[in-house]
Amino acid sequence: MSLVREHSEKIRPPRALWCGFELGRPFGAPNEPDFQRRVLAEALALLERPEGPILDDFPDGPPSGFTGTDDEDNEGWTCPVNFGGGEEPDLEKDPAGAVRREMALLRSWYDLALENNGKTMVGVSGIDMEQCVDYLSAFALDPDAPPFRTDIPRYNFFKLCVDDIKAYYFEAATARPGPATDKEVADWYYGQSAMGEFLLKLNDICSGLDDPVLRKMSDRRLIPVHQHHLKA
Amino acid sequence: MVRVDEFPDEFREDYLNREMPAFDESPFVLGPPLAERRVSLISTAGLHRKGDRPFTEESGDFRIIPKDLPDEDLVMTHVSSNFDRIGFMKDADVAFPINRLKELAADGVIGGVAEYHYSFMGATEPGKMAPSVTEIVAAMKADKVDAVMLCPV
Repeated sequence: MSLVREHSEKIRPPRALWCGFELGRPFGAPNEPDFQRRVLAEALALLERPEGPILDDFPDGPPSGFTGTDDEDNEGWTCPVNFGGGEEPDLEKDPAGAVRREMALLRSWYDLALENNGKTMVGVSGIDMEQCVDYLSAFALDPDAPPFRTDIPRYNFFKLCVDDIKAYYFEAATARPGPATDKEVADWYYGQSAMGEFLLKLNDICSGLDDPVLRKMSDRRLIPVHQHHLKA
Repeated sequence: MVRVDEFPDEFREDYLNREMPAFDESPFVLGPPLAERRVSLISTAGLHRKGDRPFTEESGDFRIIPKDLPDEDLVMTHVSSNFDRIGFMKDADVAFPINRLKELAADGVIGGVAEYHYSFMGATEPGKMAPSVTEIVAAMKADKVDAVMLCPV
């Protein structure tokens, strides 16, 4: 399978099928088994072709409704929760205070997602999600705060905590039926949520540290490239 | 959506023009009919069993994914934040089509599904994966695999 045609043109694998889908979705769209099977069968059929190298183009885009706001039938994703109101947390004491408030508001949507998806991506850090927030909050106060796990490098643990929280927000935010694209949800997560603001703060902190591995991870991995305009 | 053409200009240019491994020739072999082939998947999505070791930066190692691993036990620890994960959250087959593969086997389109499948964390210098590939090839031979689908994200 190829998602970046330019790369496949250079590598020249023996047989490749290029699909113009969103990165992360090489088989087109979730919960569209007929479409996924068509893509898979078309790619496997290349094995029977006698001459190569082959770089074919899959003729179609993702199924209708999965192309984001470009699609006339799709009104676009909207966040199910209004984060406004409530008591202002003391961010001097707990830099993740506003994140905890948001996570509480998202809880019932997360539970719904868990039920609908039958699974969750939360949990890769190996600790409870609340502890992920605790660690990042402690880190924001003092970057030398002890990580909850010492069997993996600090930068790795830090990133897994970030990934768990992101998975929680993204699963909750897409619990309602209807397609949502990464860019739509990311615009909200990084640009409008307290967690997005907190990530930018963490990124700032990391960029001033002596630890080159953590600094590099933060610079390259914390904020996606399509959200880099939010960085100071 | 996260398509390459929607990356900011500077990053897109860098991404598309990134240095790729160069090969003097393109290996091309013929094999038995598709309906007789036993297929294995290799993903670069940083997938592994829940509880297995998470992937780290620049690691060329791999994880084994058994054919009948329940969907809810498959997780992703790819280091990049530049591709969509919502699809995978809802349905792993959008990135790792093991259930679709089983359906194609049941329909007789392919001969069978391998016992084991594999995942790398794709944001790694390809040379670092070479020793792992040698190991996987030996495992695949033992598994009677004669077709491999490489699934990027």
